[in-house]
Amino acid sequence: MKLLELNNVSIDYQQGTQKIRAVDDVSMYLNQGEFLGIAGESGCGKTTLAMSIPKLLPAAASISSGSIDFAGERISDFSEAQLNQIRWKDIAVVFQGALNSLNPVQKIVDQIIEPIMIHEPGISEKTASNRAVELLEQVGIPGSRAEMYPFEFSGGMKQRVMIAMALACKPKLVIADEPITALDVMTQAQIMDLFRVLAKDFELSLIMISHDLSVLAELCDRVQVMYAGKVAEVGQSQTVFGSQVGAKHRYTQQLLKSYPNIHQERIFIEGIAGYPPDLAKVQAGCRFAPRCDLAIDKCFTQEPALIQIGNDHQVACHLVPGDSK
Amino acid sequence: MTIEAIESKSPKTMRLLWQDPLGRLGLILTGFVFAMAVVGPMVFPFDSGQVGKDASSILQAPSSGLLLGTDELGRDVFRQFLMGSRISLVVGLMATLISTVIGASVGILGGYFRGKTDSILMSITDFFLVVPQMPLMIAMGAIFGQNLSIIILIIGLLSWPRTARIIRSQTLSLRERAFIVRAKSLGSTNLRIIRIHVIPHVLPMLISNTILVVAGAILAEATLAFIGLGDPNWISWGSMLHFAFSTGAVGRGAWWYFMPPGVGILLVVLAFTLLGHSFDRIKNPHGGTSS
Repeated sequence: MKLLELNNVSIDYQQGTQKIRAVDDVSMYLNQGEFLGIAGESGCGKTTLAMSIPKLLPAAASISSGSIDFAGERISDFSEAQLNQIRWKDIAVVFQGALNSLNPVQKIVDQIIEPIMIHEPGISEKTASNRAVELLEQVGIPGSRAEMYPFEFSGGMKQRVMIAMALACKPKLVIADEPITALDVMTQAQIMDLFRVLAKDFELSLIMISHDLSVLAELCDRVQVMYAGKVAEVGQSQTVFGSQVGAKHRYTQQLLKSYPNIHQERIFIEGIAGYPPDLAKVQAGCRFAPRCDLAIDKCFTQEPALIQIGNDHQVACHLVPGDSK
Repeated sequence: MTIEAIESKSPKTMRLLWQDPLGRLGLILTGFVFAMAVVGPMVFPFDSGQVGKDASSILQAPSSGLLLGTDELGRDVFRQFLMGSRISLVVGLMATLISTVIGASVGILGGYFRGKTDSILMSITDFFLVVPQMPLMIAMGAIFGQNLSIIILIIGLLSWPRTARIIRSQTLSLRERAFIVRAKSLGSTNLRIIRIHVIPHVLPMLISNTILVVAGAILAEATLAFIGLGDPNWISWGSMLHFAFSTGAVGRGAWWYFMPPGVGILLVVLAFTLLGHSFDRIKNPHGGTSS
């Protein structure tokens, strides 16, 4: 069952008199109980796309076209008041830089009960606090720590607190924006395990944003690779990362080579030469073409469409032959 | 800011103030002035109608019975001095209360909402900031009359712009912090965000600024009373100075009449200034209102 569906969504940032298209004509979906990973370099529109779902975009950004449907409702048409009703209750967010997302002068427990108090009016503070302690224990923090302040917590613990806060109202969908980026590798592994456990306990659907493909490969059912505001490739994790089919888009392939894989033999980390394009000056053709070592003439003149090449596997590349069926 | 702000709720603040030599002096002086204002008039009540019976009772030098002698009407200066401390403090504190409430509200609203609200509030603030305060206070005092509550209002209504500016700049940086964005995304109302996330963060700076405003307000009241714009029904240190000068006590060398209120004003202003600066250093170690 589809929980979330985005159709042809474009998002513009107003910069002075200029409009910069950060997300260009993106369609995507998320099934109930599914983990979707969104990958790509900095500035490719990952966060903008994800934050457009609960409409938590910066003031300069706006959804200029497209529609967003969530649990059978067209939330892209919702008013601010309606959105406030579903934010956190149905769609919760674990923000990027969660380490700063806690109020330094408020006790942890008081911060976790905040969404509960807002979205469940009439609940007593005592009941809410009890639930907050329960949530903390579910994310692996002893309840005795609830009365402490954020500065008494380590980075990994703060991240767990943010996750507990996201789960406070038992949301249907959690959007986690780089939830493990600023953590060390051991803590990353722990947080990933936590997501797996919570997925079962809370019947979570998750959109996880990361630039680290290996993390997404480990955790997510499907992965969507973005480049310069467009979807480059999307498919089942086992298809895209597996040995049978593998990544088809040159960008995905090179992105995979940019990270070490601890399960495989040591390889030379190649990286991708050049930088992502300036979205204010979009040229014709494939946006990745200037950096692509396989680019042909057509790549510079004609923009490739996102085509179906296999079961639940789509790629936007001229070099990949489409599925005949 | 993190740890300091938390400690503002703890008794540790007092200890830190006590450890700072200037802070300790400020605490002692303030405590002394408060004790004098509260207890003094109870023990030595002052009756303004109790004037001297003959010429010899006028401007008497201090003696064992009359600690600070008498004034131009033969009244006890020491009792007057105690009563005056009460009025000076009351005016100073009440005016500061008004000033702080307005200043903090304007600062927080402007800084938090930005945009039109901010530009309107800040242009009002700037207007009051550039207008020379003392001449305006004198003019308003002369127009609206010599009444204690009006004097409190005038001082309070004219001394908030500095507070507003300081609090606004704090709020401006706060509103961009990640936890405020998070609170907004939770569906928190602006009022709730201000109450829970903004006010606790600006409080240390607000308190230290408030203490400094008290000193200024007391001085402003003394100035107004000294030039004869005080409430004639109440004795304050300023009005004591006024009468000492206008009745020629200075020329006749009656130091016991004009010295005590002068020294009193000096000490109380010093007390609050020391306390405010010391508090500021403790709470806002990275450059606060006084730096």
